[in-house]
Amino acid sequence: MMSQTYLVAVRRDFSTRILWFMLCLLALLVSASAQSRGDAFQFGEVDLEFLDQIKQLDKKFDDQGLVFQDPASNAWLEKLGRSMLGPEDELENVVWRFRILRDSSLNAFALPNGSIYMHAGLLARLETEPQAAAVLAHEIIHVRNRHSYLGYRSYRKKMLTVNLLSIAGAYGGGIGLGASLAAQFMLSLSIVGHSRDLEKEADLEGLKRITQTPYGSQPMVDALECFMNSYEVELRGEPFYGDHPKTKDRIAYLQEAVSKHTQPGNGSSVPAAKEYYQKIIASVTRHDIKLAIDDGLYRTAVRLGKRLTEFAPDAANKVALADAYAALGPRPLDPSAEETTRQGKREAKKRRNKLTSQEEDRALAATPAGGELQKANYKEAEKLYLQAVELEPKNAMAWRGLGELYEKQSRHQNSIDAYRKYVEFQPAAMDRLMIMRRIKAMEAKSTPAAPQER
Amino acid sequence: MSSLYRCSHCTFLLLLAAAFAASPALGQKLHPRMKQGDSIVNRVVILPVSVTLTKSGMKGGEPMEKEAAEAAPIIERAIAKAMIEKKLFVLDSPFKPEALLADEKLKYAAADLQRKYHELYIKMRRKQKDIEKGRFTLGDEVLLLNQDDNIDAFLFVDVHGQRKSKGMKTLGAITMAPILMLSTYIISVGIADARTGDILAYNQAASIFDITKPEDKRLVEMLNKMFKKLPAGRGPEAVVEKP
Repeated sequence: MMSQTYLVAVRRDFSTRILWFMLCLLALLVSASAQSRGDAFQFGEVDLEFLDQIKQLDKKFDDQGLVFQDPASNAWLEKLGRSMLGPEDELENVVWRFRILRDSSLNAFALPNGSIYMHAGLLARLETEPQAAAVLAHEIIHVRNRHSYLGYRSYRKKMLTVNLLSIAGAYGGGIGLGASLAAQFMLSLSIVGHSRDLEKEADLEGLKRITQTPYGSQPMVDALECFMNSYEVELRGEPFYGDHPKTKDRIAYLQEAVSKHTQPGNGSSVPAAKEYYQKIIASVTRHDIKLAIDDGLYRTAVRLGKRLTEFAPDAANKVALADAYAALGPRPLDPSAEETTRQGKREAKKRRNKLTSQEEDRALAATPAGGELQKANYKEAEKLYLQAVELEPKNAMAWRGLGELYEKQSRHQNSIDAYRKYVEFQPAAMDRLMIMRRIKAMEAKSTPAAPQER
Repeated sequence: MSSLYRCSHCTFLLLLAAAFAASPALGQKLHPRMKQGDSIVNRVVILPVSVTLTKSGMKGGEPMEKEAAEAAPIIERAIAKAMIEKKLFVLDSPFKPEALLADEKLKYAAADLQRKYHELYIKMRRKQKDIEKGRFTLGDEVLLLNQDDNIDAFLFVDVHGQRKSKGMKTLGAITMAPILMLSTYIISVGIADARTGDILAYNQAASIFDITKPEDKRLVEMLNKMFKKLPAGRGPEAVVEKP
């Protein structure tokens, strides 16, 4: 009896010690993170190892064909990026590079080695050069203030605490386990919170930086406003990572900051600025339309194509828009009211998870409304391809598009004729073999089968 | 109660570890055409191997990009060996980074095809049985990478590995949680018809041993087991009927 009482007392004492241990750990962690934010940045062994890994990642983007290699667009972005740098941006272990990533999502990111990547999807969505400059300013601040290293350091410390707490929790009995789980949860939240703080810092300091340029302060807010109206039905919530503040909140605090130090700028919203940007970015947008189609962002592809042809209705842009309409197929350009309801989103998500893109197209086209929409979109695509051919009779891509469109509609002879034109105008095309096989297959279908020998 | 829970937890995880240790082939699914036993594949090309490695330590996850880049050729060589065992002829890949340097269009085409495969891969993994129904295809755009029409199939290889640090292993020992002590590696290989894009086979295996070491017998054994159901080829010179 006595020994049992003694054991209970020992256990209680042990649990109390564990709790104290946890509290000390948390206090240490808070003081450590406060220290790291205040001091000037000095590279440690872990930071250098992290940098090595990042350099490898940078190389991987290149090797895997994820970087958009268009000399004119790259030169423009490089020039714009460098114009946002100051003499204070000569940093240890940073080589500034501004590049375009072949990705249709709305994002940009900075690697701590100074490589800043703008997604093609983001560049295509922005409306003016100052807006692109504002995004670059935000990313430059991430590198300048060593946010990746600070984030990584903070994450490591917090994870260490989480793991030590789990040891303590395992031996601390019921109270210890409960306290450990609660502390782990709080720490996980604080990892995200820290990241959001760094994003806010990049927003506000980026704003200061762009305010010092002829672009003025408004483009930062304008850039974020571009993301607010999605062309697609968002199935995965807000199109940003959980480690960013909400776009609405970002706009609000930036708007507040703008009102404090207003700098009119050189007129980022005038139509001339928009037209200038569209021309500069045309090849990126055309490339992004292809990427968006591959990613199932058909509405985005059409919207971008429309904007492109609005500013420059040339054959290449018309072909890009026609491709987008052909891919839109059995869908309406604007999401229907039904699609935007919770039930509609759930169904769309389910369909997307379950079916391949071809299967999804077929399922939608099989409905009466989908069938009608497909007809209308195909008609629009055909009209645009024909306009492109009229503008440039030897535009191979327009003929290729027509060939594909007619093939989808089972207009085999029209398709064969269009494909033949494509091969004629682009004899060294990479997809020549594919096209020739398609022609052969359609010819076989068109030719009546020979009577079988008995 | 707590010790009983820990004990059962340990037993379950040890059983799981034992199962993993034998490197079981988690999935071997074949397209109906492959199931018929016809050798429709003879000459294959292994597309750039995608390796994702992370180190799970006391201080959280760490990227292992360098190690992943070093592991890719090791795995590629091991897969080539396994293919040769199956009497398949492995052609030199025209998609190696150095080869693609001069050809941006080909680089994009290879990247886009891999991206398309990875999108399909998510659906394939969920519905592996549908591979046997011949449901999945990448479309005839695969021909962009088969311009000379001399390739029968492309191999898409994905490796995901999570290495445990010493600290993590110690944590696992202290908290009696074997899952914290064991590194895990999952390898999957999708075989796509290089003319039609049809997914002909999907193979997946897992291991707790480091399969990224050069000349590791365990990796070869694992791959041989993984490709057990794959019909053997007819040798490099065999002419395959083109669709």
